[in-house]
Amino acid sequence: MNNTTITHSLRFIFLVFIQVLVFRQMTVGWGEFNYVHVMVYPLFILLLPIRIPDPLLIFLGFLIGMAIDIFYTSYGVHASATVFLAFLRPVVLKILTPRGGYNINHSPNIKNYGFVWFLIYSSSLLFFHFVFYFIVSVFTHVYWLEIVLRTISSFIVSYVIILLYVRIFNPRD
Amino acid sequence: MRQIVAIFTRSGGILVFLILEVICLSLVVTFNKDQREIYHNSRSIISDSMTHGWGEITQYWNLSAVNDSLSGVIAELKQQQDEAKFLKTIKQDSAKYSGEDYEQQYTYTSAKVVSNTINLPNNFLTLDRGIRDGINTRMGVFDNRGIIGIVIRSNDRYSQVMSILHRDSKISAKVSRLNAFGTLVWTSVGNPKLMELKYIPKHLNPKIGDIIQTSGASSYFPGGLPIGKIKEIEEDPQGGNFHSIKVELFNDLSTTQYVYIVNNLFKDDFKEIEEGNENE
Repeated sequence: MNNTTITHSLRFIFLVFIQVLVFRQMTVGWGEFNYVHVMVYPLFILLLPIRIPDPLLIFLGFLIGMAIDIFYTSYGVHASATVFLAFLRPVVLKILTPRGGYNINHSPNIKNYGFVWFLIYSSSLLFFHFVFYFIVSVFTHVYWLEIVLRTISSFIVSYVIILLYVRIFNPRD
Repeated sequence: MRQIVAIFTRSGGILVFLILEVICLSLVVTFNKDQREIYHNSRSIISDSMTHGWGEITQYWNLSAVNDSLSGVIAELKQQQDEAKFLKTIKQDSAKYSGEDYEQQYTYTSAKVVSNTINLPNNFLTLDRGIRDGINTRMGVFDNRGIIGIVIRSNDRYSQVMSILHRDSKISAKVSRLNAFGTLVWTSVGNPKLMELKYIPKHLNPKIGDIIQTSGASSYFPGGLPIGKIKEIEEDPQGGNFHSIKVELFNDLSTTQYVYIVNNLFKDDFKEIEEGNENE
C-alpha cells in the first residue's frame, strides 16, 4: 500500500460520507422541488491517477456507485452512471491531451494541468454522468423534459460544489 | 493465453464496461420499483408488437396454402348444396322433401390456373388437376364470380380448358330477370371482359344492367351461376328477329387463379337424350 492508494481510498470514503450524510439530506430536505440532486462522488473517478488501467478504473466506478446506491437504496442507478463516467474518462483524457502529453504518475487536477483544463475535463465528464444518471433514474423517454431539466439544474449546482471542493482541498496526486 | 491477456489489456475497458453496465441495469430493473414496472411494461409492449408483426409476416407466407385449402372447402360445400343435387322422387307436398330424396348431380373440384391466355382469338387455360383427380373432358370450369370455360383435354396431372374467350365457345345463358335463354359467344377478340349474348328474341325487353346467368340447359354448368350483366343492346344489323346483347363479364379471366371444375354426373344421360333427339 503506497501513499497514492491510501489517499484515494480515504477520498473514496470521505466522498461517500459527505454525499450520503450531507448532500442526500439536502435533496430530501427540498421536498417537492427535487430537480436538484447534488453529487460530489464522481470527483473520485475524476481525480484517479492517469496511469490506472481502464478495467480497474471502470471497476472502481462500479464500486463507488454501488456504495452510494446502498445508502440511496437505488441499487444500480448510480453505479450504472459512474461506470459510464469511468468508461468515458480515458476518451476525454485522450481528446484533451495537453501539448506535452501526460505524466502518467499525475492525477488530472488543477495543480498539474491548470484551472481551465480541469474546468473543461471535469465539466464534460460530469455532464455525461448526469445525463446517464437521469436517463436511468427516470427510465422512460416519456419524461424527456424531466430528464433535461434535472440534468441541467443538478449539473450546475453539483459542478459549483465540486469546484469549491477542489479549491478547498486542492488534491495533489 | 498470452493472446487472451493481450486482447484484454487492449479492449478490457470496453469489456468491463459492458459487463458492469449489464449488471447495473439488471440491478436497476430488479430492485427499483419504478424502473422495474417501466421495464416490464415496455418489454411486454415490444414483445407483443414483435409477436404481432411476426404473425402478420407468417400469415402472408401461409396465404397461398390457406387459399388452396379454402377453395377445396368451398368446392366441398358447393357439392352439399341442394342446387348440386337432383330430386329423384316426386311428392305432392314440396315441404316434405328430405335428404334421402336427393341424388348428387354435380360434384366440384377446386383447381389452380397454371397457365392462361386471353389475347388470342382462341384462348386456353391449363389447370393443375387431371384424370388422377377425377377430371375429364366435358366438365365446366368457373370461379367465384363467373364462368371460365370447358375442359377439353386432360392427362394424369393437368387438364386443358377451352376458355369462354374462344371463337367456338358457346355457352347457354339466360337473362335471369326474363328467364330468356340465349347463347353466349365471344366476338370481341382482344377484349376479355366483353361477350355477346345471341338469340334473345325481339319481343322480350332486356334492359341494360340485367344479370346474365348460366341457364342450366347444358350438361356443362348447373343453372344460376352468375356470368355478367348487360352493357349494351344493339339491333341486329341484318334486321333479324333477335337482339344483339353485349355482356360485361363479372370475372376477369386475365387474373383468375382459383377455379372450380364441375362434373355433371348425369351428363351421359343428358347427351344421350339430346343427341337421340337430333338423330330422329
